[in-house]
Amino acid sequence: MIRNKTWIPLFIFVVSFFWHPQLANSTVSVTAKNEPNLIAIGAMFNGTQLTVSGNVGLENNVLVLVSGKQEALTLKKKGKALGLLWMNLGDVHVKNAPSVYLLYSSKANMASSEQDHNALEKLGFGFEYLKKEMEIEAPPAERDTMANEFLKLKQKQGLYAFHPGEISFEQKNETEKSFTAAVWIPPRIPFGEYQINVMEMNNGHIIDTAQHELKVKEEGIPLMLSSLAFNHSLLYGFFAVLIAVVAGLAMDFLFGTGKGGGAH
Amino acid sequence: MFHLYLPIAGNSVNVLLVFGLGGLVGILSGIFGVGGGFLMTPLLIMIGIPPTVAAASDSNQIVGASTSGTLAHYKMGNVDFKMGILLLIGGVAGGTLGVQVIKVLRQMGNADFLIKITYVLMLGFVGSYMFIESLQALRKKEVPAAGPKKESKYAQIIGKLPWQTDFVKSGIRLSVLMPLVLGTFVGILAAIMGVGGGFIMVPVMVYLLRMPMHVVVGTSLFQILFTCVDVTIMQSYSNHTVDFILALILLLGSTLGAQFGAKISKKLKGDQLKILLASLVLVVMVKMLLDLLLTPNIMLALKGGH
Repeated sequence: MIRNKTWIPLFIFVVSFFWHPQLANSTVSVTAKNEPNLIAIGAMFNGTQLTVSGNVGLENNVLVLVSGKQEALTLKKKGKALGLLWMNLGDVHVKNAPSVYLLYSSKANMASSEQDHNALEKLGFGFEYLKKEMEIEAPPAERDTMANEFLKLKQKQGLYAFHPGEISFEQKNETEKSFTAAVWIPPRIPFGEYQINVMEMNNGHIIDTAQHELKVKEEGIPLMLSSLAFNHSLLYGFFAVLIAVVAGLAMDFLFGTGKGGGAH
Repeated sequence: MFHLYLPIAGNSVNVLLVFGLGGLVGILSGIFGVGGGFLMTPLLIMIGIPPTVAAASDSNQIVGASTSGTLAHYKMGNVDFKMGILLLIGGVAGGTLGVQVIKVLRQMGNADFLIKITYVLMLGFVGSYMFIESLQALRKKEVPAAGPKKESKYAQIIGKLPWQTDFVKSGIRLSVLMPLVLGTFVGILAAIMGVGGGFIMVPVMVYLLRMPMHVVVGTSLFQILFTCVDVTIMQSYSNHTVDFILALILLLGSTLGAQFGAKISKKLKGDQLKILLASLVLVVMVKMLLDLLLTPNIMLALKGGH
């Protein structure tokens, strides 16, 4: 009896192995690679360029997203005190917002109208989608404004960006073309693990995806100093004072007059 | 090119730009005997350093600048150690008290409002008073930047206080209570406002302790040196906000600047120094007032800083 039923999972396995749903207008699956896949933050790091490239169907568009883990942030809200003076008035807690969100698209007009924004949002991408997803502890009337201000702040830091039309193509053969996205990794990027998602799109639908990992880590002097600052903070403090005093004495030795006395 | 990554600030900076900022503030520190924290921290925030890291790292660079500045002024005979140590004792007591005051204010809410208003009022009052007074003195020309001539009521009152002692270097006789109490007052204000307090201490020394201007500058730097050593160690230990690389670039610029500042200071007359410092204080006050009055570009800010 038991033996008779074993053919069912076996049949499903064999069928699934040979059967692939045919995607509309997709003659090739998206392939992607990123170079480098490890970014080391050394003493001279000032941001870097990450190249994401691969192949897609000839008629298709591409979205590339580099995103960080979801984080919870507490920010200061600016408001008017006494109806006159702008200053920080209270905290705003933001949850479910990625630490980094760098979106590149091959379609230049992807963000030119509200319709384009809605299309992007439906796919689960873009700033409008982020605004809906993030949790902001604020009165309902202020929520939208705070979400917009949060996006502005992140863009100012270079950690959120949307670059429509900044993926280039080159035709490879009659059915496929290669794409290249030069993703700018800002100097402010926190170290950690990031996801690189590549979406192949046709007629406003995602027809294939590829995912890669990107690691950002410190090395050399920055790694040594931050581990000293966080793991041996008191020693770090004394060390910082000592070096400052020595530098001050050295400067006095080099540039000081060495003469005493003399008031005005 | 010329960029360095700052591990604690988590950002990279142009070395020449930071070196230049350090040099500029170092010159001011050397000329006026102020730490320059009230000027440097906003400048660092403007180039993308998080506010908490900017304030703490600035304290670290002030240690270097004031070491160099104090030494330069000491060689010129401009440091009154007796006065400096008494002010320092008062400053430490006041700073500790001020930290508690700010804790209470934060619990009551609106602490930021009180801090900024205190800042603008103090800068406005001190700057205007110094400016007008120095301008009047410069117009009279013949009057040197020495002590008071008439026995004012204030002079009579402080003359009656107990424990009078001579401060030889400053050439004055005062009660020990004066520097202790005034040091405490400046310490409280400095802790509330989150700065070293040099720009309050200098006018206090000039107008309330009646010290000659050249001794004021050296003594103020001596006192700032110890205050900033304390702040650097405490910030490193408690908040991990001292960026050593940032401080190192700043202090290379500022220690160099402080040497030039001390030489410039020697060439200027007391009233010229006062009027320049008054102008600087007023410019910072106007900038802060504009920040308070003009609608900000972004309605959210990162936590921390002044």
